[in-house]
Amino acid sequence: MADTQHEDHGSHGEDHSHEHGSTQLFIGVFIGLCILTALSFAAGSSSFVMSTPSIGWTIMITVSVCKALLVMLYFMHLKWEANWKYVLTIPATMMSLFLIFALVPDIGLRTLSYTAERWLYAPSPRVEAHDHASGDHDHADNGEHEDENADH
Amino acid sequence: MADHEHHDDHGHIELEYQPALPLNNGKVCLWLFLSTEIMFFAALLGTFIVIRFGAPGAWPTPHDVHLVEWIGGLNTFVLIVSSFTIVMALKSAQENNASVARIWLLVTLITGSLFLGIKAYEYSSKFSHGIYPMKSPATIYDKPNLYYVSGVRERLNTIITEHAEADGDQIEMFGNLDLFRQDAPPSKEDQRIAKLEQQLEAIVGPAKMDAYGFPIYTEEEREKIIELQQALVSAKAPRAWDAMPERRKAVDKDNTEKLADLEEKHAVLIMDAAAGEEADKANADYEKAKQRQQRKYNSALAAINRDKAELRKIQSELPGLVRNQFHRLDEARICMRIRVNAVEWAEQAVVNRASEEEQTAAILALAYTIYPVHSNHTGQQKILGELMSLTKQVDTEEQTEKKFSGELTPKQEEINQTAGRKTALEEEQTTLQAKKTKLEEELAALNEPAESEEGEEPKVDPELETKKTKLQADIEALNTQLETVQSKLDPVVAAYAALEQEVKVLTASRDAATAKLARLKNRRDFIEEIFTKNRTAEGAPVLQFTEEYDEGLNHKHHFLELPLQITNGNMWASTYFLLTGFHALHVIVGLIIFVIPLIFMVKLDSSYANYLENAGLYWHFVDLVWIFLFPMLYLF
Repeated sequence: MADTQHEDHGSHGEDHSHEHGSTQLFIGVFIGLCILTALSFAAGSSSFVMSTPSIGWTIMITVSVCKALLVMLYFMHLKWEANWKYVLTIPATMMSLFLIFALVPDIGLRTLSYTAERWLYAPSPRVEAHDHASGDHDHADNGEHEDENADH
Repeated sequence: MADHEHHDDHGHIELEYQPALPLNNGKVCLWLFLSTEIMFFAALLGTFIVIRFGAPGAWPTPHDVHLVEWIGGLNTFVLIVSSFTIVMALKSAQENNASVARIWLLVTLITGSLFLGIKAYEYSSKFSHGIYPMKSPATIYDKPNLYYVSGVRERLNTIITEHAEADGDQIEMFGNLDLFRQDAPPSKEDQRIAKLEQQLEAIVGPAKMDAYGFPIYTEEEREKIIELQQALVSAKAPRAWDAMPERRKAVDKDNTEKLADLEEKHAVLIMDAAAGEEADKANADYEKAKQRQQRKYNSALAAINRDKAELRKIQSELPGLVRNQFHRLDEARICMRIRVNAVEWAEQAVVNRASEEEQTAAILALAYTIYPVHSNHTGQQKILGELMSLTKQVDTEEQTEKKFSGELTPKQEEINQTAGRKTALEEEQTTLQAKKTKLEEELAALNEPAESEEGEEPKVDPELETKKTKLQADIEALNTQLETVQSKLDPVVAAYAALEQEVKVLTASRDAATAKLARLKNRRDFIEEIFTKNRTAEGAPVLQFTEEYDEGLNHKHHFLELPLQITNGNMWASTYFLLTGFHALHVIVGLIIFVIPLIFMVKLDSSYANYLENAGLYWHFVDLVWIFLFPMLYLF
């Protein structure tokens, strides 16, 4: 399609500026984004929410996904685009998720097959019970692991 | 999107090609590019997620690594604003509002640059604490073990050695100055130099040394030393330069003499030699000898040139070395103190075969003094506990020392008295012994003449005999006296020996107590110094163990740059810098895309709206990536 120019199709110039979002809409989306950012920040900093880290992470990922949807739909005008947007977004999402799942067995669960010698040189987990990041301490790991603190 | 029938000149209908996608080429290309970008960032983010959550409980908290959440939140807000403004720019361009579009685009550019500025600030705070993407220059150890302790020790030794080498260079250079100026013709300057050296010696000579063998000077003394040494350098250097022509003259003279010598010898040889072989040999030898002499001359000249170069080097470097010498000294002293009071302390705890927990706690305590982060709870507790026990230990040692001192003083008095008695008795013994020896000599003298005459009847002199008998009796009496004195002396000597032994033991115990006390006090003062925020009215230290990491040895002395112990710190650093670095690169590319129409003053009307749309799509993608990066890096 290199020979013919279709600027009017391409730009959807004057027709679409009124079909597309109004300034009001964009301001609304902007405020929504700010609120969601604040929400995510509050969840991440709140010791109450992060006492169970999984809940905190779920909240934050959900918020991030909502923000991403807002940006994609409204700022990137995907809401007003034709069905090719699904061809783009759905495979990309699937691939991203599959990539993460594919890495889990070898890298995500690497500590399950650590030998004692490897544990000797591996970074040791922190052990403060009130520290949220130690909440994901994997209790399923082997007994050879050097347990220098009795909190667990 | 109605098909418009186009009629060409001949009235034929022209068919329009309909694109497969209702998009212009630019937009299609950009969406293709964005899908590759999605793959790119999905890969990076995906691996980050897997790595981070596969490290059970061993990921640094934001506080450990100088990550400030609200700054990340601010960055997110800035990027959201810029997303909004680029959308408004597009809208204005579509509505043919070129000037308004330009303003929106400019605001987008500014907010994007603001994002980069904040990111640069964040990066600088990490670099300044020694957290870099690569293992070197970063010095982060993952585990609190002996490798970490030896890493700290190595860094301290590096600094100390550097300074010692510079000191050595300074001494060597001063020595060379003196060496070079030896050949200079005498001048009044030498007297001035001698006087300066005298003044210098007056300050340096009686200087006291501290525990590490470094001299202690007051501020004024230091300034005076630097002043005098600078004066010495500027006085001695010209004298050294004066010496160079002298040396050159000497070398030349020597060369001429040697050559003349060789020629003379050769002339003699030639006269004596027969023609032919012998003459040829003499000539060849002469040539070789001349060449040898030439080589020696050349190397002597080269030596002079080397010394000249050295002298130039001294003139340029020595003043700097002199100026910095006390700065070096102070730094070396600080390093020594840390080595003794922190590193060796941790090493002792490990060597003393305490339990593994104790060993790790001691090393974590060392890590805490260098880089106090709240997540190093063990280290913090260890230091706090140690401070409490140190006070008690110091008290106990003081008591012990006092006890030993108390026992020592009377013993020393006793031993002095005993020594006095012993000396008196020994003197008596010596006098008696002397008398006895004298009498014995007399007796021997009296006995002698009777023996010298042989073969004659011994004349018996009754007077002589009485003398001899009297002498014998006196000698006997003296012997008895000596025996009495001896019997008095023996117990005194024994008592003295026993007391000596006791005093030795007591002194050793007291000295040990004093040394231990000094060691404990040094450690206590050392820790208090690091964590003292203020002092009370009475001067007692107010200790503070805050959540802040802007404390500790690395912060107190910026030149130290001691290794840190951050569990999984290297992994964190490399993933953080990789993700944010690539994101920042994309931001930079976006800014370039924004700046081009602004620079070329393009009219941002509806014909340019495509460019803005595509730029906006790219920028929104960058924002999307950050939307996911922010919680994952900062909040998880």
